[in-house]
Amino acid sequence: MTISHSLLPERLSKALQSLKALQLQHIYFAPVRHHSPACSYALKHLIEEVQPTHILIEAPSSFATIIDQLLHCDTKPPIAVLCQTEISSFQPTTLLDITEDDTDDLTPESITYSAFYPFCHYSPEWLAMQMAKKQQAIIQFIDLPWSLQTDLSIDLEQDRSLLSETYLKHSQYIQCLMQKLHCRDHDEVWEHLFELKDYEEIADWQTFFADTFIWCAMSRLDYSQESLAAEGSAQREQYMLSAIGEIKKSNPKAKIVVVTGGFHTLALVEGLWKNRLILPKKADMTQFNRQQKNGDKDQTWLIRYSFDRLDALNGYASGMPSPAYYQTTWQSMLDYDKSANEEQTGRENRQRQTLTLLSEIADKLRQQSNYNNLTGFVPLKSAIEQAILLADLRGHNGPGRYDLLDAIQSCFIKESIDNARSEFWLTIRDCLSGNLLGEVPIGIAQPPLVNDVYLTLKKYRFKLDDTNQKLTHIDIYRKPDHRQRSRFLHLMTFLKVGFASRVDGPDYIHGQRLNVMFEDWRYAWTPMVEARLIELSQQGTKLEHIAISKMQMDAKQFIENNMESASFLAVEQLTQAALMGLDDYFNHILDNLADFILSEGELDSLIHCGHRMVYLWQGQTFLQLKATSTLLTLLNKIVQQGFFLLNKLKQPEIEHQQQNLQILLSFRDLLNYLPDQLDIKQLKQDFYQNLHRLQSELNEVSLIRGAIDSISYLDSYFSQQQLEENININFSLTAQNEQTINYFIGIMSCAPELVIHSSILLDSLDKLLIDWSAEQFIKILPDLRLAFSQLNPNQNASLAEKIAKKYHITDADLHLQQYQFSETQLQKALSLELSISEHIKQQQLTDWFKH
Amino acid sequence: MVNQKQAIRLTAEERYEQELATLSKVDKENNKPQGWLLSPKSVRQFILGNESLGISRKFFGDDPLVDRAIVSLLGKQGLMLVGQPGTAKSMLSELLAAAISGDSNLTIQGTAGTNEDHIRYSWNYALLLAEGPTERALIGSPVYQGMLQGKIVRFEEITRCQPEIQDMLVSIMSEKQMMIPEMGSNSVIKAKPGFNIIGTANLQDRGVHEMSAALKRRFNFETVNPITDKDFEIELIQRQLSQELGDLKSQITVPIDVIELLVTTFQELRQGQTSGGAKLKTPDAVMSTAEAVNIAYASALDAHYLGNGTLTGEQIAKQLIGVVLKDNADDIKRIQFYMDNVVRERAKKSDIWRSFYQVSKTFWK
Repeated sequence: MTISHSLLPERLSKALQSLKALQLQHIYFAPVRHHSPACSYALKHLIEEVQPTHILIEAPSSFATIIDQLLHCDTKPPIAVLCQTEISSFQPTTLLDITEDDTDDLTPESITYSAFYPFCHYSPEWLAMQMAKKQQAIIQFIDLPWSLQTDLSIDLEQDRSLLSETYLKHSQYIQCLMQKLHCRDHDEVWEHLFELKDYEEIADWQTFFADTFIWCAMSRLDYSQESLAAEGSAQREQYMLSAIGEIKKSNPKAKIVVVTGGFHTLALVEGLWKNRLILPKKADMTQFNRQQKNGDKDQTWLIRYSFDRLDALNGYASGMPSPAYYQTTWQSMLDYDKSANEEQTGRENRQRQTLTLLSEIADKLRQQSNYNNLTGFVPLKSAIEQAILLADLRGHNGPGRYDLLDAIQSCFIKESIDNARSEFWLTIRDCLSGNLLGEVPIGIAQPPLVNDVYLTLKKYRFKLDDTNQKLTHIDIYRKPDHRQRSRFLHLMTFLKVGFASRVDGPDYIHGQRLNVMFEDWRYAWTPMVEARLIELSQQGTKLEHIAISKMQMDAKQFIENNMESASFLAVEQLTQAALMGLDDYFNHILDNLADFILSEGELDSLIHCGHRMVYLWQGQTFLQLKATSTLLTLLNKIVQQGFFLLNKLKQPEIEHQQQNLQILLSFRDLLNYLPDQLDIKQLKQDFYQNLHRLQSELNEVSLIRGAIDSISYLDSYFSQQQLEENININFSLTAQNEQTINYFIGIMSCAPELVIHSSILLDSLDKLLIDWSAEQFIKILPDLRLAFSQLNPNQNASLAEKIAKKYHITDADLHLQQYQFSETQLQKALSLELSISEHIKQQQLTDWFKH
Repeated sequence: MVNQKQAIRLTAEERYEQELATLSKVDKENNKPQGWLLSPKSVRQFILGNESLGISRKFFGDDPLVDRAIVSLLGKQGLMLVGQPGTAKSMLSELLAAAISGDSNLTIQGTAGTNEDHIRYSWNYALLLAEGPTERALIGSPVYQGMLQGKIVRFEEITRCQPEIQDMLVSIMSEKQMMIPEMGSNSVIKAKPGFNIIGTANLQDRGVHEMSAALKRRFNFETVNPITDKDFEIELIQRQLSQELGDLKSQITVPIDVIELLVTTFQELRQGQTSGGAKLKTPDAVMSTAEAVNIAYASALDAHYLGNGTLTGEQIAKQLIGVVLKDNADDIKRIQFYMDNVVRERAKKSDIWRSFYQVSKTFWK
């Protein structure tokens, strides 16, 4: 399956010659595909044979600062270099924030651009570094610093990887190959042509890399020079050329191996060789040095990475998918190298790999809850056979990834593929992508914050060895160390670190499930957690400090915007601080809270604040609050301030009345929930006294009036007699029906049972209704219905009974369905029915009634 | 019997006799599975084409599916092709049978009336009375013949048969033998290598039966999907149209724009979305590529015999009714929606769409 060289465009055959000529000058190019085991294997043989003095790798030159960490013996892939650079947002060239993270806590003047450069065991770049270390060759990173790449790249919205390969997807050449080779996408073409060669063929690196070179160069021919410049490739290649040239200039005997994405090789070869070796001009070198200095603006961190993240990142076309699959492929290549004498071939290795993987997948599928017996022994066996036979049919040296997937599709799905459950494919994807997590040397590489958090989590015995989600059950009341765990998790949640999310437990902020004794958290230590921590580490070295400054910032912003309702936020922060165990900040807010409360101008916000304070009070054991007396004083202050703000209830607009009614009821609830240590009885007295002082101003506000009367009665501030008097007065104001009805609704929304127990209410309403005209009644009917909707069916029935009794209607007549009627009644009904239908027809409403 | 030359439609092995001969010549050195006339690679070339050998491509759209289908037939499992109507399932099964066994005629055409005799064997009753249960009196079904000769048997529309009839295949598939108790307790025929079954089934249509799990286990399923690539479907329809028209081809002008209109309409209605992304109502009627070819063919004949020899949107509009209006009255509304919202707009800008709209208007109001 070697690519024929005879039909190549002239430019390429020339480039191929240059490639050979450059080798005579000891410059060897390895045009690779990122994360390709076959490329790594070929590269391994290249380096072994050539024994280079320099190995140059396509990665930002600023990586030089962490080369020691990359080569450290405790560094175990998958790892990634997180590259960050801060660019002032006023700069017109930068368009998008590619991190897509919540960066609201960063100062808005600058945007942090982040990108990952992942390595796994089988990445050619990783292998090159490892072999360079072994052979004591010099490693140099020859790509533009990240801070300059962000200036160039326009379409950065999706590509968060420094290893983008989007060009492969869009190449016409590869499209044609796809059709010719009966493949479904460019990944399959790649696998067909390169990954599935026999090991010995791959080890023949000259031919192998000539082929990858042609493959990538052909796709490059689709690009115009302008589009290459626009996406930054041209500038990056110029930089790489200067880097290579500089080494050759200063050290003409250097043996250089250049590992880059195959896309760039054509430009590099053409730039370096025009019938002779071209070394960079002085102007180029000046520019190169200037650009290199820009690397200071880069910040690079070595972080742990995981296979699932890598797979997701590669989803954006930046390398091969299914890392776990290719990890085993790579491993069997290495095993083959070690035991070259024994009789084992690539074909057998791949067959063995397929067998193992299919068994694993079948096993995983069997563990699914709704497993339907479709991956038993027979389907498994036939799937293995299918994969092997497919590989034979397609001319592969043993089954590859697509043969495996095809076998699964053929043998495990016994229905239309469109009906296959998504979890089925998810399981398979998970098996192929894996979740291995890398390791980086502890202590040296990480920003202090990441280390600190990691150690703290370790101390609290969280399991951080892989990226799988885990569940932890925290006994927050009985075990002090568990409480510490909970606080730390709350702290991380508050800062949106993405480590854990709470599944269950008391919610002291919203006052829900306060009687639950345990907290359940789901957590996973993922590379994104580390990335977020690295981002946060710009703001401090301790999570606690960062949280406090975030709260202060929030408070500052909030107060600037709405001065009047600051107490609400203050209490929320108070609870947050308590949950996170930030005692100092808690006390700080507590000290200031009194001022906030006294300057509070919104009754609504104040009552909310009061409720939250009560939640906080209820959680005092869990939250280990010491300042209980201060809390009580504050609660008292809230109530007092509430009394002061009660005149807000005077607003006569009906919408306001309805809102205020809810606030009033919420206030009453608050009084009922207050801790016993306060003099609740006295406070309630004061509450009603204040309300009744308002009475004279509530003439227009009958809804509230009704509500006040009924709760006064309920809380025994009124006697029944007083209530009835008030009802009489309100119903005798016959001139204003709406007012009266609102008054009635007010009563009904607070105490619907009154209409049953107190006959006076019903009688007054009855009297009122009798005097109304039909029009008046219909107008007010919706409001009445709303008022009566407060009753439950049982209450409805007893009310109906009461009314029936009053009007001497028998029980039988109360039934919805009537059976006894005379002939004339029937006649009457029929003619009525007829005239109604006629009327409906006239109004052209027939269709409307049909549906 | 009809003279073979005059038949409306030739079998695959007759139509592609030349190609099969070429392939079997080239195939001499390749390993062939027992009972197969061609090696799997040649079967694949026969279906997917090989330019250098002059083999035409016969199945389009999903190459890996063909690979999987061939490999499935190599094993003990049968092959079940499922998918919407008109997606060339039967054609694929015919091509596979022709290439592997050189015979695509061992076919059971499944219906609600298919019974045990159609799957196993029946008797020539005159002989049965005269001679008793002898081999001469026995009339073997296609399955019987396939087992005896080691050939591929096609079972079309398997889900239209009653479940108990479908299940007769279960033991045949697993034991690869058929008992004939009438001829004595030891009488059994054993399948020769090369025997396998290709079923085609429709899983969604009205009036189909569910397959039992036992039967499903004995088949590998492959889903044949409609073609989603517009340009490719246009190309395909043009090619098939000229094939169907035969000699008339030279006398009829078929503008590519008209075919494009047809394909656009079909694809949009099938996917429930216009090329611009607006949502449409999808009719229940089957809008497959095969149906599109039928419309193109009928319209072309209309243009030739009743029109001026040039295919226009007008004829397409007339034929479209026959495809869409089958049994669901709601489909009328759905097409009206399409006409009012999409076609009318396009008619303002394009002549072809205008002629299509003008005629459609009279039908769909």
